[in-house]
Amino acid sequence: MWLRLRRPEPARWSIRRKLLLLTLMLLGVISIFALRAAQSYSQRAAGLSYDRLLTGAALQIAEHIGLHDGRVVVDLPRAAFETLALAPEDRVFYRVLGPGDAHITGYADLPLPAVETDVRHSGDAFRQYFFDAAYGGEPVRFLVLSRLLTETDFSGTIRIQLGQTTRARQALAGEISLRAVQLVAVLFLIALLLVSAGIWMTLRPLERLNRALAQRSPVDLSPLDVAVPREISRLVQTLNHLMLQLGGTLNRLQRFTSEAAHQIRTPLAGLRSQAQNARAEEDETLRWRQLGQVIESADRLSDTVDQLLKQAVLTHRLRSEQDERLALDELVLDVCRDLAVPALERDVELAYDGTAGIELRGNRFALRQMLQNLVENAIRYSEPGSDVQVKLQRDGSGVLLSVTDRGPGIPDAEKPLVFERFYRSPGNSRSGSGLGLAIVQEVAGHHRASLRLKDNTPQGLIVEVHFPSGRLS
Amino acid sequence: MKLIGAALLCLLATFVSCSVDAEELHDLPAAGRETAVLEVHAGADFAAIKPVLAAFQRRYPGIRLRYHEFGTLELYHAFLERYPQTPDLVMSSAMDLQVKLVNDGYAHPYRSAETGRLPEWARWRDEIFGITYEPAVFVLNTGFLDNESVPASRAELIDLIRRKGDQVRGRIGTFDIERVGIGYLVWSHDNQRTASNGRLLELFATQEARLFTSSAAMLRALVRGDIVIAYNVLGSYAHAWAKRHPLLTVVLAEDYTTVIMRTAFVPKMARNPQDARRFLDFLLSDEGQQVLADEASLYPVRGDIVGETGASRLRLTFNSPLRPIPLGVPLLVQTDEMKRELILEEWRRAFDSPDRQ
Repeated sequence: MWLRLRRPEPARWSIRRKLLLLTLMLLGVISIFALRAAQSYSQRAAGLSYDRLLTGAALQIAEHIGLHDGRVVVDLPRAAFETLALAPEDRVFYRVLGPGDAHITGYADLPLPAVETDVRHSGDAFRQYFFDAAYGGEPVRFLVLSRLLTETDFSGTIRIQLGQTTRARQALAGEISLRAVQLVAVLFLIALLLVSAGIWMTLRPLERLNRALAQRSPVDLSPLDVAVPREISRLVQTLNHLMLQLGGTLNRLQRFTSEAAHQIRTPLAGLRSQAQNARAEEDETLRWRQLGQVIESADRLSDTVDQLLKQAVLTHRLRSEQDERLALDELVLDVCRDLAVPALERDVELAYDGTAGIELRGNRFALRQMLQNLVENAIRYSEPGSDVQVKLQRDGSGVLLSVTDRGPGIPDAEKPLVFERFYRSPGNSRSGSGLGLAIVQEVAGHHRASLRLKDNTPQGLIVEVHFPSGRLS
Repeated sequence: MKLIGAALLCLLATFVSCSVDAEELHDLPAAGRETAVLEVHAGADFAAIKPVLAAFQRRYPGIRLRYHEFGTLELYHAFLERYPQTPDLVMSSAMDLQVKLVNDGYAHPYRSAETGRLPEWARWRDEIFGITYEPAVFVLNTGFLDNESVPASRAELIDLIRRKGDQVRGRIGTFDIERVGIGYLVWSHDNQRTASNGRLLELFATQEARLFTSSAAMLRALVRGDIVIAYNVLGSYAHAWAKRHPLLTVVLAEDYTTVIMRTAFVPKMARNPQDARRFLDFLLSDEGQQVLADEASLYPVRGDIVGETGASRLRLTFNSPLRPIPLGVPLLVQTDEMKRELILEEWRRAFDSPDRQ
């Protein structure tokens, strides 16, 4: 049963998980960058604030440097050290150097860098620079502040070196970093939550669609009625279209099957009774004739089956094959050529009058079938000695194909019916399955061509197939 | 025998007014079998702190205590001279010098439940800890007052001295800040904080104040009537003497009272840091602080210990703003050579004619 839906394989990945993973990765990368930035910022901010303490303290000391009897005197202000004590846990080292690096007071063995870097001037009197060095077994931040001391009898540079261990600035940097980490973590969580909710909400219509499909009975081919966003409404449309087609196909198939069964059963029953009669007939000549009828009936049945198969194949090919570009005039000519001999056998003249170079997109097999059926029909219903004309010409924007015979024609009342499958005109004694025109209609329908039946004068039938311009190429 | 000898020696030393210039060893054998030796260098009066040492040894009978007594300045210099040979615990009331040693990286950090109970200002870097609480007070021999009321503040004291004039000439006593560490500490600290110090110094000089090298000597002179006012005496000693001598009145000034602390730290190179910390914890424990308060006549630093003495008792008894000198880098200022020189110079200039006992 080609109807049964293939069971889907268990999904290897889910959109939700993939989106979440991507979000996590993105958030992770952003967080890492944010943390890095926060860390460097916190170091800088903490360093800056405690450097200011050092500067402030050094300036306070600088203010308390004076000359006394030509000697440099430092009256260390307590306030300077109270400023530094704002970093309560840090040790402090200091010294004051006079001109020529003469030791004036403080720690004699503090390290000094060989090269002064990043020297800043503040005002005319001061210049300062910072450096890091280890002293007393701990990392220490040092400031060297130089002050030009000029008095009437003295001129020289006094240098104040002030160092502080880095506990407080590390602690502050750590605290700022921690805050940043907390902030980033909170933002991370919020973002994750929002994105998760967003993903859930976005994927909910898909879920709904899944559920609607899952709950559907297998024979229910009515269109889906689920509210979905634009992105997947196309999918639903396609599904609905598919189901519509599937429904149509199923209907046709059902009808076809029952009609075919009917069409085959009736001749078979006839065949059987004919064969039975023949078996019971004692007269040799009569039995011979009856057996001839059996064979004739079998032929007709075989013809019918042939047509049925043809149509099945045709329908299948129309649905499964892509349309191709083909030269319609050559195809028509070809069919006429093939049927010219059978026509002559019936003493019917087949004439073709066509315009060259007409191309359209279509199914070569189906079109050939359609043409064959049309022309064969025309030949079949023509009186010996008459003719069948096949014409192909451009008509306005499209192409008009007409097959004209001088047969009995079809009464107007029957014209709408003849395209139905297995319809046989009540007065029709010619052999035929009743499928020929049904096939023609199917092929014409596939090519969006319109079919028209007209009366010929004085008698006969004109079948017109009009291909619209959209089909031409 | 040895203890009595030491006490005698100490007494003798004070009599000849050289105080505890040199190192003095009090070797306290372990109460039980000796398992460890604890070397303590201290600037505290042995007699005053003895009950605590005894209590400690009762608690840890295996520890032999070698208690080296110094003057606070000598203690500092001895520490630096003998480095890297250090005691297991250094205890002194010269907070500036102690802080200087800690700042220069000689101390080992220690944190325990006991140290955690100290107020912020009584510890620094978890390396140095305040143990006792010593208000700098002035003491009067009320005999000379002649029904005048006891001065309650520095301003009133200054007024009194001016009024009495010649009556108090040569009869005011204070520490010789050149030779006594705590004297220098309190004086230099007050100097930076208040302006009244300058007026006091001027007055001390004109009244030919006598300079002493220990609280005990000053109080003795006060009891004898050699002096009538003793300025900046340590409150614990003063109260102990006042209890015995009803003529002495202890005053915690209404304007402010500077409070110093006996502080202790465990040196980095201590050979027995474990027992040193045990000792430190004991000193700061409820038991140790209570002994300080009740028996040792030293004031415990912890405010929650209410004994006969102590910070809380002081607050209950006197209407004086107590201003402890906080531990921290500002104390380094006082240890600066040049700063010290400037302060001493001012002092010397005031006392132009040296008149020292």
